[in-house]
Amino acid sequence: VSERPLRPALPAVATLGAVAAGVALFPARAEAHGLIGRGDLPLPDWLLAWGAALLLVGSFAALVLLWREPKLEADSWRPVGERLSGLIVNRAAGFAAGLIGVLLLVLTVYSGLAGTEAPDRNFSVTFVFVTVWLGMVVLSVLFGDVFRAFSPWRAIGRAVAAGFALIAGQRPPAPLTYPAWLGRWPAVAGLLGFLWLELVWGQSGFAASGVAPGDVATAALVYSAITFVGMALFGVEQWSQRGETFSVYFGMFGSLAALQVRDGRLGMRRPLSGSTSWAGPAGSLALVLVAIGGTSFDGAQEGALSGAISSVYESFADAGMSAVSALRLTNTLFLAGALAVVSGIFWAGIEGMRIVSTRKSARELGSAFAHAFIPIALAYLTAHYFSLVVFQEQAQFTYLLSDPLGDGSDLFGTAGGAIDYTAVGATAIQWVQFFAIVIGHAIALAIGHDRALAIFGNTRDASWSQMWMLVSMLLFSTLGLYLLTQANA
Amino acid sequence: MLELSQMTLLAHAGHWAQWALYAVPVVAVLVAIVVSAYRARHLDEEGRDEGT
Repeated sequence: VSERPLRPALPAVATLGAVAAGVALFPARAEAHGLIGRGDLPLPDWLLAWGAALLLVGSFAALVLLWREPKLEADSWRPVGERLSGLIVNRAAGFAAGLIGVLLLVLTVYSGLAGTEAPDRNFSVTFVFVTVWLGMVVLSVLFGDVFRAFSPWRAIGRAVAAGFALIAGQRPPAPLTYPAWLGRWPAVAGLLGFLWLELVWGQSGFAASGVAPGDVATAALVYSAITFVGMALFGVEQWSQRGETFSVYFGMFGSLAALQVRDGRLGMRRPLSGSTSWAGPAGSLALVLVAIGGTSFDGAQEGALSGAISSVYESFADAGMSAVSALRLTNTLFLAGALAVVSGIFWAGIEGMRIVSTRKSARELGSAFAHAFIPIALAYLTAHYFSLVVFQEQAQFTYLLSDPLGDGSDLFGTAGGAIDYTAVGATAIQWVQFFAIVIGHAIALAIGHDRALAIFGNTRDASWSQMWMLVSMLLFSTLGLYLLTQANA
Repeated sequence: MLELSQMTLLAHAGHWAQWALYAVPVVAVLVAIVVSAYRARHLDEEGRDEGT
């Protein structure tokens, strides 16, 4: 295998090089349609996808030529200065962060139960589906696993354990040993449940989720109860690291960050290097794929698959199902289909890799390369939800904060605020989407290439193996851009 | 003259045909990899034949 010449990228580069000229010369498209002014973009949608492919093939070639030994595998964590670390990571800050998390959970449940039923005027819906679900991803990528400090469930669990010790005069009974085979599967189940609630259950047409505030509050209470049972059985920290969906999900993105706290000390490591040890526990790969599949389905639901969803829905409705049940069943099937497509693309890349070497099973390779797809999950999230975050966060920090119940109160004097939809232009949003997809996939290629160097031992075999990952990445980037343009249309 | 249903079918086909344009770079890279793999295997076999 090591004797094979490494030339396959060249014809593709040549082909796509011709496309680059087209990108530069192609006239602006006249038509404009949909909510976002497509006429503002100087390129047709498909040519944008070709440009993305060109950039990815170029990135791949650069990796082959310039990145010749693993750089991310070794532990590069170094503590920052003791004073700086102590200033940020200390008991008071940890207590304050936990208290903030608990208060926000209480406010979410209370506003969901007692506030207005209008989802766009109730604090709970935007807070859960935009501020926490999307905002915490951004914070995690920038600052590491910050959710650990703010997790209300971890804070309550620790407080209960401390209270028990104080009252009973002894430590709480030792938790059960967490089974290795269970890995992150409880978190995967939780993620599926969250996505189903967001994308399937709520169908009222609300821009952020469609879920009623009362549903959010009930789901938060049910999820809290499940989490406390898990913590009681297996211990607060163990369940937070393995079973608690939000901690595991945000921790996945936090593994890309340069900052990390170890044993109470803040330190820095090479960016992306934390991800190399992330995918060890069972279920990690499924978590990444579900994250990508969920966003893909959300995008497809709004555009590419809307016609197909309507027709299947009509078939179920014609067969006698109620409208809501028919829509939920249809969306459940399409969500499952989106997860299957995403998994199929991933496993096709892995099987392709086995052409280079069959020493490792597909399962082993799948686990070894799972972390390379975290940046793709991030790219999909950024591209799909960037505008939602920009607009909804204006609501979150103005009228939703001042009037969380939507009952006319004005706690901070910002209840009269409104969303400025001109804050970011349609063209800027589309370029953000494009570059999020390209940069995310280029980073994924880099992480995959680094792991391949570690596994296959030499640049040539590593590069051959990553040819197939390149095809996977091209499929994911093309799919992402196609879904976005269809959703924007 | 085309019937309305035929025109609808054509219009839908045109819409879905966009997929083909999106798929071109992926297919180009895939073909490049397959051709290169075939050539590499061929060269390996030739090398073995010359060795014997």
